[in-house]
Amino acid sequence: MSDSLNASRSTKVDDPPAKSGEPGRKKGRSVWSRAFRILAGFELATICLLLLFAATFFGTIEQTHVGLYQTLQKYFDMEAIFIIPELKNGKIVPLPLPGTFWVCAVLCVNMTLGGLVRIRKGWKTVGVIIAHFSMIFLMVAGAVSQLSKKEGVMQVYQGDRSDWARSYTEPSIEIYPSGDKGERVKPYVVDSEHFSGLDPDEKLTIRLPELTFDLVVTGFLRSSDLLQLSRFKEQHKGERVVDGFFLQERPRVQQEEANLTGCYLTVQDKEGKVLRELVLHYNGMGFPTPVTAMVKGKRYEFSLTRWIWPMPFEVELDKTMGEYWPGTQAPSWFQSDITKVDDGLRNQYSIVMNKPMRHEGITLYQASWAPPTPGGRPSSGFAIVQNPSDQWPKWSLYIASFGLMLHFGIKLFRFLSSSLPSKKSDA
Amino acid sequence: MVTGQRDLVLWDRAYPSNIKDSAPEEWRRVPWTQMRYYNYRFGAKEDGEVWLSVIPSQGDDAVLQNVNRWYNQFRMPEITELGELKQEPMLNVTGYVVEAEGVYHAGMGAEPREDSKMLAVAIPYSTIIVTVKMVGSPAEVEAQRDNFLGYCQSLDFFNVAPAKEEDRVQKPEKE
Repeated sequence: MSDSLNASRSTKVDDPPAKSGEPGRKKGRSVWSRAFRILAGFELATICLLLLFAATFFGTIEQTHVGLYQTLQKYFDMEAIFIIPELKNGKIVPLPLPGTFWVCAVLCVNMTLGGLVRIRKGWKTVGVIIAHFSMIFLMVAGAVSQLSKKEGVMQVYQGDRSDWARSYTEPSIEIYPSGDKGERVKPYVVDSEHFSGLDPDEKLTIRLPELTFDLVVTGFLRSSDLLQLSRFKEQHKGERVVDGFFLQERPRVQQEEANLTGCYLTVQDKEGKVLRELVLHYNGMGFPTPVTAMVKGKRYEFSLTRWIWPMPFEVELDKTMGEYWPGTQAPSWFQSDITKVDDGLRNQYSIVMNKPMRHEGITLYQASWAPPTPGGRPSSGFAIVQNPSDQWPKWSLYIASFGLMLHFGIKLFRFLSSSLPSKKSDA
Repeated sequence: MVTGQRDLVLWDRAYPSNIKDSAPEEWRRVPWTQMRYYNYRFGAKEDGEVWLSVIPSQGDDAVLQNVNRWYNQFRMPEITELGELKQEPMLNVTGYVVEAEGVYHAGMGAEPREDSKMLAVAIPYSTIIVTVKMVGSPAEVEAQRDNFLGYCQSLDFFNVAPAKEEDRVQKPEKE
């Protein structure tokens, strides 16, 4: 492929060399022409690929000591403009790298201009053009996934049902107003993107136009313990105490889902007068554990949880089975027989490893299985993903395979054609 | 700033150990802990505490042992029979009401609390014991007596999640 690629992309079809005696024409086209040549050139492609290699190399090393979540955020998130790689002992590698998302964006432009627009078009290059298109498609799939993918986990016990999933890692603050009979009504949700990047000494004011109060988030800790002062006086090192509890930072572990977030919340009226101080802590339970406050005669519940994702259907877990590899806690296989209830319509599915259930853009994979505890029931954990580009990488590989097979097929045909002695020469 | 209001889901109607409570408005819920499934504060200074715990019932005299542990926290004499306690129907079984007054030694590193009163119930239910304790100043605890008993009587086992009728056995089987 590389020979053809080189040949194709180095051939200028729309930018013939200026003839001598035509300096004006050459000068007039030079800015756009040079910009185009740079953007479509091999040099840029090579730099992008080297940068991607370096980011992948350092990211792989860094992942071993900070974990997958933090590495993905640092190296591959759209907000990562520059990366300073770090080694295990905290040593900084003096090699600032551009964020991988943006390198891929530049490579995408480069391949579009160089591999689709600038390339010589003809039956000899059609396979290469298809292969280039597949690579661009793959990078677009990654960008779409980065921008719009939602994922969470749904845990269901055999015989139970569920209509919600919870994010593995992203926190959210929820505020439940009370209904007329004291029941919960639809909660207001503050998404993690607003506060998950806060440092402990930063504060964030959350305006709630539909409510009679606003909130101020302070002391946000990505990984914390909630301790009761009366029981843990010796561990108290001057942290703020609210309702007899204080938050203590603890080292962030590699598995991000195991980090328990915490923060302090100040309820204040619209003029900024403090009405109530609260402490919130995520505890990983399968039920809400909010704290409450009366604000202007009305009761509200406040909780810090992982982002809750309502599903457009219910899942009933009819039966779940599984086995572990001998002597390990790694499942060798598992299967869940479920009934999907969608607007009264019941459909049955079997979800097994690598055979998910798909429904209107939402995919349920079986991610975990737990055997019954004594007297209890087994359970299944379903990873739920909503990603418009879910299947695009697969299609991209099919397209790339087709393009390369076509290209090499044409090359082979041409080689064989030129190698075979013609009848005329035989005679 | 707020993303919006999300729809209610089964998560919003799930309860610790499937025990649903209904607390009076003047009680304020504070953070949950492993030992306190429901944890409230009350009183003018909010130093009165109410909390609900669920413990496994180990042995025939598990309730009696637990009640005597509570009496020990007030350095009061132990009892020998549960029949000595006031009894109230709770969770469709018998709940035993315990009262104590004096210096409260909560243990677990907490400092003794002078001039305290405790109202508590122990509800044995099959393999578990549901306990609810209220501790505060005598006057404030006394003022909350009706609220406390009303709260204990409002408790109910409730599981919204079962998928099939035959699986709707949420309550621990009674012995």
